[in-house]
Amino acid sequence: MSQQMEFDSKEYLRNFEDLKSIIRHAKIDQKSCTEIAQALYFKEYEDLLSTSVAASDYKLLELNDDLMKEIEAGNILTFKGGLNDKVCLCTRNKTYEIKNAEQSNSLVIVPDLLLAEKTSTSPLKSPVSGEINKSLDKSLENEDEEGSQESNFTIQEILHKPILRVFYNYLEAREIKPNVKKIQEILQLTLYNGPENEHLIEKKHLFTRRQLFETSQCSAAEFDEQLINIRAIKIDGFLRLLDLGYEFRVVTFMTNLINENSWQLNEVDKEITLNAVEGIIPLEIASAIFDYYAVEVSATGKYSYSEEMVCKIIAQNVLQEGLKFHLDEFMETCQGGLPEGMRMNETYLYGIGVIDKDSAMPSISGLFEENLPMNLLDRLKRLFQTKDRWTMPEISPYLKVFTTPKLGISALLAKHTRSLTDGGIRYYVSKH
Amino acid sequence: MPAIIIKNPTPNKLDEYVMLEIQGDLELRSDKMISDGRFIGDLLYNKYGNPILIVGHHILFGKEKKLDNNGFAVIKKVSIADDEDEKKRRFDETIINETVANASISVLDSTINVENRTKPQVEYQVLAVIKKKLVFNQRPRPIISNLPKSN
Repeated sequence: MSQQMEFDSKEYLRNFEDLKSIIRHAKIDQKSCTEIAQALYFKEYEDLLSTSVAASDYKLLELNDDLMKEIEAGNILTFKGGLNDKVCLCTRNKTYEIKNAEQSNSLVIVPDLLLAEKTSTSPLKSPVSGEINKSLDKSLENEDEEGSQESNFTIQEILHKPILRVFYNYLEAREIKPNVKKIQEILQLTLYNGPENEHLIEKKHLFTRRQLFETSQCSAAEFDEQLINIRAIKIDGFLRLLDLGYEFRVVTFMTNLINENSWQLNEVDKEITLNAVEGIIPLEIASAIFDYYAVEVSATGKYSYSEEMVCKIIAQNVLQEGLKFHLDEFMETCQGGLPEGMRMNETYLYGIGVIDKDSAMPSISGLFEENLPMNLLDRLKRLFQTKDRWTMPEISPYLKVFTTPKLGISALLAKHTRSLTDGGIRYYVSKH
Repeated sequence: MPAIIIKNPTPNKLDEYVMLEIQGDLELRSDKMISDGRFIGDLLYNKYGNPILIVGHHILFGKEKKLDNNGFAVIKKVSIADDEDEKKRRFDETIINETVANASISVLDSTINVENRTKPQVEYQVLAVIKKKLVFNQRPRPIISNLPKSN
């Protein structure tokens, strides 16, 4: 920034004579002042007119520690969101909601203004127990003899400082949980259900990765995380989700190879698997699904499938939304679809199905998180209609979407449900 | 909507500005403005480091404070030119989208279309950060004087 503004010769420049005069009239003891006085000026006449374009080009953005660090390090922040969404501000890994905060005070921004210690040749005195005004009052009252000050005027220098602008508002930034649901909703429009069904897809609804990212109200890290959560796959240049039934067929096809090849669960061979499905499943899909479901066993270079993910996709396929099964029969059916050695576990079913062990015949009914209302109260109503009392792990997957950095699952439950303890287990029941 | 970015062109050596927080508005008499040009007022500090602001016929006593919300960034809107690579990339993507396009236009379609085609012409540059402010939160005292102004 410019150190000194340039002045037209015809414009007024603060001088010692006028400064002395005003100090005398203000009855300030000038001996109590530091050596440098700073005179403030408007930079441009246009800045006085709040309607001018130049003025609105400047904004004040509130920063928390995280934003301050990102900005100082030179990292790029991004305003983003869809055409009809609220604007949010993203760092590489966090998302902030932006609001305009009106102020009744004037916020005057002055570039390179000197703070007190830089204007004093001697160290500043420490205030007497913070009672600044008293000391000032005293100095004011004690000062009556005019004329005598002229001789020992302590102010040595007047610096001329143009102000940048006066603000009456600023942009307030509050960290929020990003709206990643939209990613899933958009991709749901074009579920991939095998090459033979591709002609049914509305091509105009397809999104490239970049297009989807730009319209999503979240940071790059949060975007990537969500793509992994929903297992998005790049097919022919566009991001897609697989139809559950299709995904189920792909996964069973792959896991069946375990028995066929008499592999141990941690001896899955990626190359053999991908070769075996060639011609049946397009390679980009097979390889993406393999990467989502399997992790490399570092010692051997072989892979093993995630038991939880395999169990989930099988359970989801058996357990259609709204259907009710005898629990035993359901577990048996699922077990039949699993490769040898994998076991279906009730905890894998949270967020997919609701288990009811209280009735005479234990049962499970399908309830998929993604199909529930996006309004918290409606969703809770729906949940408690399905089942009277829930444990925390059972209900968490259904409420996770409503949590924020400041409001976790337990806070949500505390606010909207009642809890009771029965046989040492804590349950959550409806408030009404 | 394609993102509008905020960028700091001078990493790790940003200027630091100071904020004066003044109750009410900075009012200037219009005749004074004409006669005195762009001059606003004088800022002095006493030996305790407390700021004193004299504006027109008012004197304000204040305090130096760290900003309680950690600070502000002063950002400025600037126009940016469309660079060639970007243009080409967008053009290619439009082709992908259009070769497969057909007649039906839903709300989603048009939104996405607009989103795909609009390229922001602006970005924000960080001029400085603000970490400290001088707060003048007491009523201004009038400067009473019967003396004619010395100039």
